[in-house]
Amino acid sequence: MSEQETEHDSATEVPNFLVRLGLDESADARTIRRAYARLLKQIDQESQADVFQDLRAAYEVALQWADHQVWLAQQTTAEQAAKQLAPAQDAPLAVSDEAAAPLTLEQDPALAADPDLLSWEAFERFTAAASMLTQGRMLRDQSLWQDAITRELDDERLVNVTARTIFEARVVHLLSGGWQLGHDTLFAAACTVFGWATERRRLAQFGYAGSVVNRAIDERHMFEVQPDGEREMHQKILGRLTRTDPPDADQLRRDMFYLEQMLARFPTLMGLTVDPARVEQWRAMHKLVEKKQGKPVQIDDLPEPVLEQSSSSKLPVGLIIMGLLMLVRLLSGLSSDPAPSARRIEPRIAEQIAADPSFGKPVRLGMDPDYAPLLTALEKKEGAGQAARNVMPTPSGLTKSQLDEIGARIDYKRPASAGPAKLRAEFDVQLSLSGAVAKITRIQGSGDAGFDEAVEDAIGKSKPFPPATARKLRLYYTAEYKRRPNKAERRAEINAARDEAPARTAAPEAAQ
Amino acid sequence: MIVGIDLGTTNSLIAVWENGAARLIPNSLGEVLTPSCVSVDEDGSILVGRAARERLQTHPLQSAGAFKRHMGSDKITRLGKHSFRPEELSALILRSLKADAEAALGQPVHEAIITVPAYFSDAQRKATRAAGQLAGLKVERLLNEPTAAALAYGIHQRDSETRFLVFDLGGGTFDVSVLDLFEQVMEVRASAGDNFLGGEDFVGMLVDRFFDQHKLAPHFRSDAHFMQRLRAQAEGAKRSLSEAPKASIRISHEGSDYAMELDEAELEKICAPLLKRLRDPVERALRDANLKSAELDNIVLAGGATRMPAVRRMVARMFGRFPSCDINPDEVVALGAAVQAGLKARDAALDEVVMTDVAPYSLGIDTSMQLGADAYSYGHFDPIIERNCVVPVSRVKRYFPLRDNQPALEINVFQGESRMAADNIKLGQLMVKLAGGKAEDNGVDVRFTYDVNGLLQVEATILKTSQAVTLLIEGNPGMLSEQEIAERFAALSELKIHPRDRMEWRALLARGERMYQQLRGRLREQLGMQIARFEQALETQDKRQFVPAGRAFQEMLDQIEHQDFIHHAAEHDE
Repeated sequence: MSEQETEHDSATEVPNFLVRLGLDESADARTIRRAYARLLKQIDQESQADVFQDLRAAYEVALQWADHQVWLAQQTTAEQAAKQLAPAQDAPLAVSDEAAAPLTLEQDPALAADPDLLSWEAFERFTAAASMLTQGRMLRDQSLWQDAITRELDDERLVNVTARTIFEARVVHLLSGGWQLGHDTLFAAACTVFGWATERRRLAQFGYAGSVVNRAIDERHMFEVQPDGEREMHQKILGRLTRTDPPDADQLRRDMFYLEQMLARFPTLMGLTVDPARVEQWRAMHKLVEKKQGKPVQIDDLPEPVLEQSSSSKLPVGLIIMGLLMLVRLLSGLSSDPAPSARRIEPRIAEQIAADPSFGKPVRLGMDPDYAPLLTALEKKEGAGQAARNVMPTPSGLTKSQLDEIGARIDYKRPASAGPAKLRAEFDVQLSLSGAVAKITRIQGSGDAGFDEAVEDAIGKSKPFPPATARKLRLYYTAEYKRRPNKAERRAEINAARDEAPARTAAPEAAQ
Repeated sequence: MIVGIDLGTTNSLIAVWENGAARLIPNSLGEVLTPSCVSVDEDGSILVGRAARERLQTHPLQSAGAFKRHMGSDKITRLGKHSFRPEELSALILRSLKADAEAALGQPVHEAIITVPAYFSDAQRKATRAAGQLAGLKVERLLNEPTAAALAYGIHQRDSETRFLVFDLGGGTFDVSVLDLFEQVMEVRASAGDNFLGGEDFVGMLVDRFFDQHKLAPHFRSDAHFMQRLRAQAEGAKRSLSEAPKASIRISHEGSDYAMELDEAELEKICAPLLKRLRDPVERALRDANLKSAELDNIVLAGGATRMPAVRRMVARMFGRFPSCDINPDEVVALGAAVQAGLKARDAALDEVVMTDVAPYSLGIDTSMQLGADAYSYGHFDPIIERNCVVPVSRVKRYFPLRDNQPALEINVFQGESRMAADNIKLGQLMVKLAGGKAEDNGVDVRFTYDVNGLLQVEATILKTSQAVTLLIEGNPGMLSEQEIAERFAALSELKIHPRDRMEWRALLARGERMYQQLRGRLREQLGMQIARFEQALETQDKRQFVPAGRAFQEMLDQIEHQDFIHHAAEHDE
């Protein structure tokens, strides 16, 4: 399967998957399907299985490529789209349905109702019930939380398939937003009710938020299968973290090691189920304790807890939106000199990690350590006020595609003289009641005014967000500008890679 | 001549592609639906179809039905002095259908396309092919039922571009498939289902309710006669409610009469748990196809149980619109199988349509993950072939042993969607001897090849030595070897099958016997006399005698049933 990265700065060669289908770069989805159909009819799937697979692979990649072309084309006309003032037609979670045929025979109101509305109402009922459950003993009672979810799923009003999916999506988004009071119980309850732990790919439909929860589930499993001693210790600490009174100094000294160990091993899980304010409290106290005693902090050679490496923004209403490393492509005006260009950093896939010689063990599933810094939900800016909250916040409803849309609009050409850099610009965005962008405040600049302006501009050009989106958002965008290596340097790079890690060539492939 | 066969849990059908269209072939009773029942007659001959179905009530220990549910297992059913495996019972149905087709077409039938639920496991598919072989049919291709339904549908819309979902609720299984038709290519995007959900289960719920309502003692359940009669009554009531507003279940046992009245709303309430189970596979199929319900152009119903208004209402509410059922849901799968038969025979009219199908479940092996220096987490399921990828497909992944100098790598093949291998179904095992040395030098490439018929081949290649070990997923419980098939084929061929040309009368007689059992009083006596008379007429072997006698007998039976209905209806109004 050809890699997703294609460098468009080289001469325009027709990609081989298009050649296989007998097409050129003018192809669109329709012509690709037609070409596939035509060629498919010439093959006998049973006797020519490999020819079929080859054709099928080309077809699938070609469709993805065509999708991408469409997306690219849309970006260049994005300015016109932004002028619209009509409210967005999309549902907040990018799943919508229109009631089709009018009722004829049966006057069933459920047939005509808008699934998005149905799911929204169901979710409101659920969050109201959940906020009751954050009190006293009910906070830890998983069966009660399960009942709260099941009650809505069993309700007559939530039969429509789309409505149920949106409801589940809202729960996923709520959890992926990060810890709130009761989320540890909710996480376990939701996993059981929706079967996320048993059905491997169920969360895949919920995009980024789904992958966060999925990762947390994988981490939870790893937690469970730890050797008894370690696991019990970790569980005790989780218990102590839930207490509101400050920890005892001696206990703290002993616990801190294991806490940092947990945060390093299970960052996503901890991010969803542990109060960040409590962690910060412990850390602050621990520093004091160590200072008093004049001893250095005793954390062996653990990797630095991923918390400190990068911070994410936590939305004032409690939902975390992650900015992504964005691809800022220089389309025209490329100079032949080593011009700075930004390259999209793709996360390494699990198989490549498995081939890593430092492990040399069977294929690892799930966790990609490179993701860990991006995923941490433990931020230090919001104070202890969050911990006391006992009302479920409504999710901001912002989707990854909306984030991507803004990111794609960022139009900035960094001058070559400025040199390579890693930039990050963070903004507070306030929306009006109709969902339009009312105010953008720069919280943290990148050091490159042009980039900051471009990001602010891109955010400002957004279409009005759906009414369900939160009023206040915090967004950040990053970009990395590298010096593009010239031919000689590139060759040296490749040779170095070859010498360095011979086992890398043994990376498992999905062969055709 | 190739035919298409729908081998259903409750009914089976056979069809052929002829003159540019799919056509159903009637059986010796002139019906296109042949009940999937087998019975051994008094004289030891085998009865298949309606007669056997009647005898399911009168002679439950000599009769069998719904054996599709046991396909892929080792279950032996004793009928009289015969013992049959599920494949053999199915083969008897297939033989009967084959005879019907040969009679109708006037030429021998050697090959068939047989349909199976999309969710059928490897073992179940193999059993279906074995059944075909045992019936003397070459079965090169098995067809998934929802795909067949889609074919029947899609062919009518040959030049269009459409996306639809097939909702197939049969007697014993439930299948959902999402399909894409474009440029005469029929592509299955996703398949999901429940192998233990069908019309029979709805009947079961009614029976349970009947027991509850009348507080019947549990030992009644071991009375085979009683249970069969009760089930038949419940089935009848369920069907009536698809057309009439009310129905009743009446039965008498050991001197007492029991009755239960119900209307359609009541039925829906009783079966609510089953209706709920319909949701999950639908949601899963849409998820896997990456489609929203609004993107579907059509919802297609297949399977007799979709006649139930409660089911249709549920479908409408799930999708926010009404489903299409232009083609008779009982017949649509068989018609689709005929289309595929025509394709296979390369009929000119069908030269255009090509199909692709998908793997209905993920296939992979169990692997370990490293937690710490010496800590491992075992038993994680690592998929090599993901569910709903287009078949035929071949994928390879590389694995390494946990430790240095490990003597062998144990490759356990699983099928399923759970994260942990233990929660999935184990299909087989492959042991790969390793040469010794460092773990990272001892990689093994594991290749899974899955063909259009759902048969899996596993090939493990040791990188160091380039040696390969292969495993064809065999050794499932219930699998017949080629030799066993040959032996059983011979045995089946020696069975005395009730002559086709006499089936109509035999079925009539069986019906009469069944009714006799249900009646009481004078009507019963009268019927008894008529049965005796008809039997005598049959024994003369003289057509001029038994044909008119048969007609008269049939009229009488119809009249009694009609009267009986009036009798019940009258009680109703009081």
